[in-house]
Amino acid sequence: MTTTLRHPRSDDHYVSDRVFDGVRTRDADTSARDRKRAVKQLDRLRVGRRADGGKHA
Amino acid sequence: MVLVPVAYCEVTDRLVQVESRLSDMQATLPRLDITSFHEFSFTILIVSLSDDAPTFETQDRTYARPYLPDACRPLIMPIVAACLRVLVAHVRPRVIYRVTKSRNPPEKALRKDVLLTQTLEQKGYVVIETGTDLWGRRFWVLRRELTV
Repeated sequence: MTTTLRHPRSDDHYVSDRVFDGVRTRDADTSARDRKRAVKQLDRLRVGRRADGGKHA
Repeated sequence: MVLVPVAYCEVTDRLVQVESRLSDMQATLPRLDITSFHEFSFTILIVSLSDDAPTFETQDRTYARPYLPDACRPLIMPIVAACLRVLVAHVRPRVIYRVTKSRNPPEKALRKDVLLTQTLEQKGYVVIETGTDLWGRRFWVLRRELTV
């Protein structure tokens, strides 16, 4: 399939806000959810590591 | 969304995660006459577990670097590609949009984007358009062509 590399015109472009420069701080609610999930992940990793006999410690 | 833990610091009690997202977008890709698509993006999340410091995220390697051990860095893009495969298999989007963070990126800087495009091609997607958006960022639009 042929694709064309095209250059922008102001009237026909989607501009994503999913990418950004620098750092973004999450709001308090999202941070709390992030923390809860991260604690669970870390707990699972620690359990897995113990079950693995600490071979990768 | 897929979250993969990649590093933990016992001193600061911070967990570093790669967050990959396939976002359902209701927006128009005018020249393609597409009004609904999925956009793939990923960030590095730094989560503090021990206090109320807010989570922060970055897509900028300069900001992410201090939080990623040397041994971990080469694994990030393979992890992102694996997450993309999982997300695509689960969501099965018809059209996927991706855009670079960098503006006017040199070809050399597109290696990770090439990897992600190839990952999608292996899953039956083809690039139907590529170009530069209003902010000078390279973008790709891919459509599912094969039943895989």
